[in-house]
Amino acid sequence: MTDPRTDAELLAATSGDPAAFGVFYERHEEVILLFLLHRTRDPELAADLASETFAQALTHAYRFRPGPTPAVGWLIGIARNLLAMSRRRGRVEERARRALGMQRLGLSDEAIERIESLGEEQNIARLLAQLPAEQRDAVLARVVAERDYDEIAQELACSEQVVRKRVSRGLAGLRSAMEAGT
Amino acid sequence: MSILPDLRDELVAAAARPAPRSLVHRARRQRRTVMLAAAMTLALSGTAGAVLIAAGVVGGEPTTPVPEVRGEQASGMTRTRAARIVATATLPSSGPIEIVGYTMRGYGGRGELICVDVAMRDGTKAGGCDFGIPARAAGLLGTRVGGSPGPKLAVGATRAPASSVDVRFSVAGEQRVRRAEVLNVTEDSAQALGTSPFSYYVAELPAEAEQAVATARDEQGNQIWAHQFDG
Repeated sequence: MTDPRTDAELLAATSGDPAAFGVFYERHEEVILLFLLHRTRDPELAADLASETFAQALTHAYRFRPGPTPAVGWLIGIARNLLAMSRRRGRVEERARRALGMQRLGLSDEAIERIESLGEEQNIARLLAQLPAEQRDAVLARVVAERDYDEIAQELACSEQVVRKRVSRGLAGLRSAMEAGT
Repeated sequence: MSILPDLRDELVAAAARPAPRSLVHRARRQRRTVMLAAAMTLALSGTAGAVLIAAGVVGGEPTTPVPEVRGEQASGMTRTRAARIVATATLPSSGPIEIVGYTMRGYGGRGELICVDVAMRDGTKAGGCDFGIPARAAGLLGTRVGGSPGPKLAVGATRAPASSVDVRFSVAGEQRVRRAEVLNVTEDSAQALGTSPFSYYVAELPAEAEQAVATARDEQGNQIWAHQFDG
């Protein structure tokens, strides 16, 4: 059964209920891996960066509050910063994972294949096509083209809040479609 | 089905482990030191002219220290201004509360985050952080950290001075409205956070409340701020 709690409620519950963060992770795992795979073209690197992304999210779980930026946007921001830092330093940041005492992630061939399958263009195009046009456009502009919310809002002649809601709903729709295997 | 179940399990295990030794212990030692020094000052010099900073009063340290977030320092976050009480009030159900402000820097390198929390006697906290006040992320519905279950809280900052804040919400489709407790944060307290004076509101709503919208008005009844809560 799908957990009915919002992302903010899951993050707030984490300190007393660690499994809540597992639910949060599963909810956003594919989007973050897809985002990183799109930019690195390397499933192992994408998994390493995703691991540090969620470790940093865990250390900041207490600070997240619902607002204009959905939780997935917050995660993508962390992932983007990590990617930029990794490129500058020539290695993937591990500070949050070290601070949390996390074991290094070992990837099986099956796991690598699962990550690679996320990047199949046909799969993405098919999933995006299932979204309402306004949500699809907002997701492509924000997540794929990495444009700022205010820039998208100006182009679409709507408020930034509307763009954020469309991206949030679009990503939720993609997630549902992935879970349903449609 | 998770793509990386080992990572999920590792994160859950990390979440279950005790947090590293935190600032809580240091804050408690500091508070005892401040209280002892203040008591000695009173004993030696009397109250006339003495400046007493104590927990539970505006400008003083919070009664419940603001603990370090697990891994905060390791992630590069630093506290830039110590937590101080910026306002106090007593709510009908939740009793005495302290509005606590502090700032942090480091995340994403985007400048200084201003954090404002509502702290309750039973350890419950609600609130949030953002770049600037009134916060774009102002407003919070239903998220209480720690403490015992209670009413939902709608909290947030508005432009100052707010004369009234009404929170409209629905319960099972029925529209209701509740007047919030409005606290005007003084110039001194706001300056201590590096910002301008602002108003802060706290409303206790039924646990089933949803679709809440807070509207702030000035003395003339003009709307000066509004916030629609998620959920």
